[in-house]
This record gives sequence, C-alpha cells and structure tokens, in this order.
Amino acid sequence: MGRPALVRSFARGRITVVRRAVAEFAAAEGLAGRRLEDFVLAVNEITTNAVLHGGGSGRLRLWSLDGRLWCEVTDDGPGLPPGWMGSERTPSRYDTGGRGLWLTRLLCDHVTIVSTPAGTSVTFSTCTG
Amino acid sequence: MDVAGSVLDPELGDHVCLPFAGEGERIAATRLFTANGLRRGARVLIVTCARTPEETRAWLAPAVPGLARAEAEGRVVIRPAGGTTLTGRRPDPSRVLKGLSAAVERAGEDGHAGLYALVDAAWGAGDPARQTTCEAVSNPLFGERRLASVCQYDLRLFSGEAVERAASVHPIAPERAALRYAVTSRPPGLRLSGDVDLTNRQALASVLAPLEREPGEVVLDVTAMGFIDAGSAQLLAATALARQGRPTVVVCGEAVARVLRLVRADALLTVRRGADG
Repeated sequence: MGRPALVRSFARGRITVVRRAVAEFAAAEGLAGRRLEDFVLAVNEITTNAVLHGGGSGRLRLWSLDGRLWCEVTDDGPGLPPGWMGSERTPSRYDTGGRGLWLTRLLCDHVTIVSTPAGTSVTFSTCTG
Repeated sequence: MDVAGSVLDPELGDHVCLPFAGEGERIAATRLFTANGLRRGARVLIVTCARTPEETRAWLAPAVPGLARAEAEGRVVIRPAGGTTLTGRRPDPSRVLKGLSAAVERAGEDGHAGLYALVDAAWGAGDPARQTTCEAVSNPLFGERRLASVCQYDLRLFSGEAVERAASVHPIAPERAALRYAVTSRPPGLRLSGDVDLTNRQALASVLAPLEREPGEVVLDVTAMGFIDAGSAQLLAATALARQGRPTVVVCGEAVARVLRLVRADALLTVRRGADG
C-alpha cells in the first residue's frame, strides 16, 4: 500500500487541476512514459464524460494496491443511455459519450462500469511495476 | 495570487479570462496589468464599465508613476465601455472585432510594441451568451500576436455557469488549460502550444474556424503542445473534414500523434512527426 488515496471532487472548470493532481500522484507512484500518459488521458476522458453527460460534476479517487494504480470516477448523472452498446464496440464519430469509455479500455486495464439511473461509476487500473 | 500574477503579465497573443471576487482584486489586477504593459512598451487600453475612468485613475496614480504623462502620450488610454467603438450598448460580435482590430492597428501606427487591453466584462452582463460569442470571434485576431487582453469577469455580476462558459472560449484562464497560438502564413496555418481540454476547447474551435476557408494546404504545428484531450483532437479532424479534401497537415510529437490515432483523426489529417516536445 502506498500513500493515502487521492480524493477530489470536480466540475467543469476543475478538469485541468484534477488532471494535474492525478499526473503528479501517478508519477510519485512510479508511473512514467507512455503508461503515465495513457493513464492521465483515461482519467481526463472519464472526468470529462462526467461533466458533459453525468450531471456536470463528479468525484475521483486514486489509490495504489499490489503494484497497480486504481482510479474510480463517480457521478450522479442519469446513467448511460438505454441504447448504449458497450465499450467494446468502436464508437461512431458522433458517439462522444461512449468514446471516453472505449478509449479507457484501450489505455488501461480492469475497466468496470456500474451505471444506474442515479449515476455512473467507472473504475480502471494500470500496472505501476 | 501566483496564477493571477502570471495571467496579468500576458504575452502578446494571450486572451485571458480572469474571474474576480471583489474591488480589492479588481484594483490590484488593474495596477499590475498596467505596470506590466508599460514595461513591455505596449499601449495599455483600459475599458471600464462598472467603475468610472476617474475612479480607475485614482487607483492607478499611486502605483503607476507618471500616469498623467503616460495618458498624455497615449501609452495609457482609459475609456468607459459605452464610449469606445469596442463595445456598444448590446454585445455585437462584428463591432467588437472591428473595434479591436482598429485599436491594434492604431497602437502599431503610434509606435507601440502592441496593444495590452484590460476589459471590464460587465459591459456584456446583460446578455452573457452574446458576449461569449464576441469573445470567441475575436480569438483569431490574437493569433497575430500584437494584442494581449485580460477580460475581468466579476463573480458578483456573472453566474458561475456564465463565468464557466466565458472561461471556455478564452484560450487562457486561471487554473484551467492554457493555449497559445500564432498565425503562420507560409504555409498558412497555426503554431499551437500549451494544453487544450474541455476548459478551453471552444477557444481552439474558434481559432481553427478560419482555416476551413483556406484554399490550399494548411499546416498545424502542435509540436510544442503538452496535452490534447480526445474531444479537442476530434476538433482537428472536424476541421480537416470541413476542408473537403484540401490537405490538412498536423506536425506533432509522439504524445499528440497517439491521441490523434486513438480518435482516428489520422484518417482525415496528414500526421507528420516533428521534434518531440
């Protein structure tokens, strides 16, 4: 177990500040190079999704466990739309909401999505070793 | 005050949104901005609205030695919003753009290094949506890098939502991603640096818009860009798409090239590798 978890609330204007805090935390946990860039991009896309489609704000938690860095982003939005086909399908050019999840699957591991009409929670991880 | 300090010493080309909370912050910002503009040899234009030019002079005098002389020589110009060609009674995008271009030209003709404009955004508080359009359409002008502007948004006057909307059309705002850009002519295009994400994506959209009309090849040099999010990378692709087959080239380092590939923008753009930033 590394340092205490990083916990942040965010809304539209805080996307940049949260991303910078995540980059700093992740680097201190040993992430570097491409893996660091990918993790930071995934966090950026999921927090951006929360702002655009998940009610405008959310909460982020970042923690290390057994050689992996984990991220959880939760929002109180309306949940994923009923017609949503899953993040394994390549999104169309206009499918902006699904793209963040699809990208996160490409960039990180263990992507879990829990979506209800009361909100969405996305969890993913990357290897720090 | 660190971040506010640096946005109050902008480079020519910077277009800054500065939300502020009270008269103390307004006065401090006005003093710092004026001193920095004079030091850089620019003409300092202060467009007042909620407060009068006389009040503004009274705060500036103790902080700016020789203010009266600077005004007499045209190095400092203080005007109420209603009395300039920049703004009318109602936010009017083409009028703002025309007024701003003319003021930049005049500053150059009068031998100044550029125009440093500090604008009380209260002038558009009656119609913030239209004001946001005015801010956005003026963005391409900043690409000539002869103009720096700090737009002061009073948090007592503008809702949180209105400030957020205003911030997102400004390339630079405190605690948000900061984008810098310069218009290039041979080949036509832009040189971009800094970061772009949801907090300034609309600003990027407004500086890309004129490129859609460029007849020949367009080159976007983003070698010095630190971060681009997926949605902004898609804006580059959308620009290429709108150009209907006329080539759009993006010169970039590996990190940006990867984002362009991930969103499949490389199918519409020619991605050329520059020196990695």
